[in-house]
Amino acid sequence: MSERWDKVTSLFGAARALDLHLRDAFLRIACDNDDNLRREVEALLSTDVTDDGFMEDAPWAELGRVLVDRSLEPGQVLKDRYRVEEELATGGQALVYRACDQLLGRLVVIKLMRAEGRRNRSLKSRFEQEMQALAHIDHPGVVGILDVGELDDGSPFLVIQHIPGTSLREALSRGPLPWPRAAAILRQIGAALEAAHSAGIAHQDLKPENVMLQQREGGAETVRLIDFGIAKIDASGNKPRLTTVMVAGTVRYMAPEQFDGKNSTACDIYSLGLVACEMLCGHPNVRALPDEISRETKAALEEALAFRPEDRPADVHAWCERLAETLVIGRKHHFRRLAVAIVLSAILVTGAAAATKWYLNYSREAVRIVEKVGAFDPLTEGFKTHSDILGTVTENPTRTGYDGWTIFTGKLGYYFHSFTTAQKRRALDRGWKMTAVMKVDEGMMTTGVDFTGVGGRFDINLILDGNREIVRLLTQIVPDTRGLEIVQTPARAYHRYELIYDPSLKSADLWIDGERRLTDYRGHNQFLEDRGLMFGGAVYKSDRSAGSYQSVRVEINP
Amino acid sequence: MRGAPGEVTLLLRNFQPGDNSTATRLMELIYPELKKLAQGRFRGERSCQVLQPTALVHEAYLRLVEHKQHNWESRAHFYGAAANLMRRILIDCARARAADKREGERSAISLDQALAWSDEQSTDLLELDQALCELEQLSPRQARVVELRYFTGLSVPEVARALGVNPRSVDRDWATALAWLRGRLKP
Repeated sequence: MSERWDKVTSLFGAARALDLHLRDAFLRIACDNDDNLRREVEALLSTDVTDDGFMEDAPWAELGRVLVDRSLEPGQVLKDRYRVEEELATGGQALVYRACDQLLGRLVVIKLMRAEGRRNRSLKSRFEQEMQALAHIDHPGVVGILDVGELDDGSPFLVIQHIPGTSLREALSRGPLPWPRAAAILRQIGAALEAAHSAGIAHQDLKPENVMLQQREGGAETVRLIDFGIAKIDASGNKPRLTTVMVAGTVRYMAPEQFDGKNSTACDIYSLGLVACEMLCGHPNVRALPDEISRETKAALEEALAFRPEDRPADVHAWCERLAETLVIGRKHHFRRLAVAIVLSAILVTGAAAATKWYLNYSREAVRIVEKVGAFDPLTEGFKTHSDILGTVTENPTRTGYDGWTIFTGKLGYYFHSFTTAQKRRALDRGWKMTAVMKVDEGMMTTGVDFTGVGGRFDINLILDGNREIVRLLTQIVPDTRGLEIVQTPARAYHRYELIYDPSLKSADLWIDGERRLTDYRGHNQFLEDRGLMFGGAVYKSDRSAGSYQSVRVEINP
Repeated sequence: MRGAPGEVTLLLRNFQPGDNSTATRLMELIYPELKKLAQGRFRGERSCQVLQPTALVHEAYLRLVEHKQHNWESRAHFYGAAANLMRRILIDCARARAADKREGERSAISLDQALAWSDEQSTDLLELDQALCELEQLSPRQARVVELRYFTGLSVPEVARALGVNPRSVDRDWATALAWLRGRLKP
């Protein structure tokens, strides 16, 4: 508490206990000659009313609407038509029921948004828009919304076609799929998405749970996509908020730009790339693919998983066909390639294998060489650790929202991912950019690139100093730390920091949230340890550090 | 909930004021419990107009914090986190509604919808939130008192117990905060 406010509070407390006619005299004496102090106390006394109802009741009914899910009971009839039969699943965002459409005598699925979603009052009109849009897609693989309605308290619900069968999630619970089956499923998803995309509709929440598999006679399988566009309705383009973060669906399959609320058909390709990986190896991660997956398959998957939406294939159907093709061909040549691989690996030095882990593609406009996004463990993303990282937590361990990776360190602890000499040369020759969305919660967080052998080191230090934050571009570490500095408030908030290096000037500029804040930073040459991209905490006026990263990456100009 | 009582107890034991990541984690653990408790009370009821946040928070505390850890400090941190959580939920509601309203103004909407959107309270809440952030700069403790009193409905003696301070000073803090907020919000 500020000392001055403390004084105001105690004088106010004392004055309000006095009779009105005594207050003036009291304040004159107590405030001595400090007129400002006296005016402040008097202002408080003038608004010290007791019975105007101000802040008497918090809007608790509102709280109830958020906390309590309105459930449906079996036997209940909605819109004089849909009789609820049983609760099917309790998903993250919705309560799902099987119901009977008494008018047409068929089964349907009723989806009721969870309490959190219902706060959004325009939800129903969005449901209606979505239903109309979906009605334009004429494809059996796209399961549309049949009807929308509203409960008596205004909560909107959806009526969806009932699809018997199992979800891809259930199929995957028994392990990865045989390649021909995965290929067949991919082709059908591709065709269904194509139909939607050409109508301008993106699914936006593609995941194994939303891919339904129906067995047909003769062993064939029909694929149908459910929950089209519902993610968009929920997200409503707003930035993620705390309560939303805690309840939204899975983020595991989301494209990076979706975290910023940017949705497009390119998101679907990214999600589908991860779903394809999971069908092939059981994990939605391209790095988890086993060695027998062909280079062509991996290349196709990596195209879909490009960080920037514009770098992904535009035509989802063609891409699915191509990917499916690589799986079929890959099968045929499986043994031959394996034999070649064994011979090769005997010849090649192990360093070359490490290089293949890098995601390099010089044909792109800018080459992203290392990155870490969201709540994924840097270790599974190819990073190594240095010294004392005391612990880490995902910003949101249930992975249900805009996630980050929080690091607690002792004296010095960081993750790093080295560069190859060719990458370092190329970076300093053509220019590079390091982007980090990060914050510091305690001590100091340091994020930098190290071009040992070819050039120097460039470090951004975020230092928490009381209620303010110092952003320092390091120019010297020993004998004392120095650098270019700016101060920002409020502290402890995420910002996007970009260090952009211009090879013609041999210096970098610092941009924070899209604004250039520091220029002519030439890095330093101390502690060159060939760490490549590094991020973590270091000691500063406290014996530990803590901070979080939503993303870190390095790109090189082509 | 995966080992929530243990984790909550542990978080409370190591809680340092100003430790945002712990506070956030704490809220994440308290939130589902509050939801579950609220759900249990209102299951099947037509509406939930009357909710007693105080009772919910108290019950959540008893369920999530190991008995031997029941001391005023852990209580203070727990109630503080819960109050802050309630505040955020309500502010989020108000903000979502304000965003809906803005969106509605841009595109053509029906009269019904326009009526449903004209909710004065949500604007007030956003202003209150802003004012509370300013009060926090003047006096973090007074802001806490407001959170506990207003957003969880604790009485003065309960706030005093939760914060481990004298009820008289809670009284004074509350009166000061109210007078200040009134001046700030009702010009």
